Amino acid sequence: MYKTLIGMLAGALLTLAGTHLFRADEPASQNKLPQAQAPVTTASLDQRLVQIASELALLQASVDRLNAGISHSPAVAPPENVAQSGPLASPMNATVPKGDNRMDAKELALQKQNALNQSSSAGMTLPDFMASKQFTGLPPEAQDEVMQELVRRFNNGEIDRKQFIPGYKY
Amino acid sequence: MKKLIMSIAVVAAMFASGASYAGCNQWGVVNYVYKANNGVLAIIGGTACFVSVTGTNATAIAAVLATANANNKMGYLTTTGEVAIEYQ
Repeated sequence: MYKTLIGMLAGALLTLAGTHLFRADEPASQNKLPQAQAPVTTASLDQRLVQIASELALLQASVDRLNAGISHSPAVAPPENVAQSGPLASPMNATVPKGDNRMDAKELALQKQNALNQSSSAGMTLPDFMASKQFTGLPPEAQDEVMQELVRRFNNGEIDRKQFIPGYKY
Repeated sequence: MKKLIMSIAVVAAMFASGASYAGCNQWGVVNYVYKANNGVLAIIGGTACFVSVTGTNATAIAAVLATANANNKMGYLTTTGEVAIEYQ
């Protein structure tokens, strides 16, 4: 009788202990699962890379949407008298939230690109370009950078000297 | 030691290339001078050089180079805005 009772108790204890130990091992076994079940191969690494790339693309899309939301939020909307149409007007007149350095840099890069595009537009001369809104609207440091880029293009022959610089002695 | 020498050479090459100041620091006939609101653009010996100086410095640099330009003389402009022209 006692032997049977002790045997049942011992069995129950062993069952409980086994269950508890199995639960304690679960996280470790989960961590080891991919290594144990799927050996690392070039194909699996490629697949993982594709997965990471797609996740990155999704993240980038989210960031872009977030940035678009910030730059076009009603709180920072440009005044009504600022022209918003045309390929050059919008980036130049976009209001950038103060304190957001990343946005500032992005907008500034756009503005510099717009200024450089303006310099290569048909009929544009150096004096006209220097007086243009796209150029004068830039901060002084950005103006210097645009000028250096302009000089580089000039020296590389990417700019039509006869057209761009009236009065240039050949 | 070899790495140190290579590093110094790279840095020296970077300074010597003057990528953003192409056209500066060279003698040549002053082809064109333009005083911008943020600096002076000069074309010397067929090569453009822009230096960012403002105020009276820009006016003085442009005036000196314009003299050489008007007389088909040679000139020189450094990246820091120092200027020299051929004696008239």
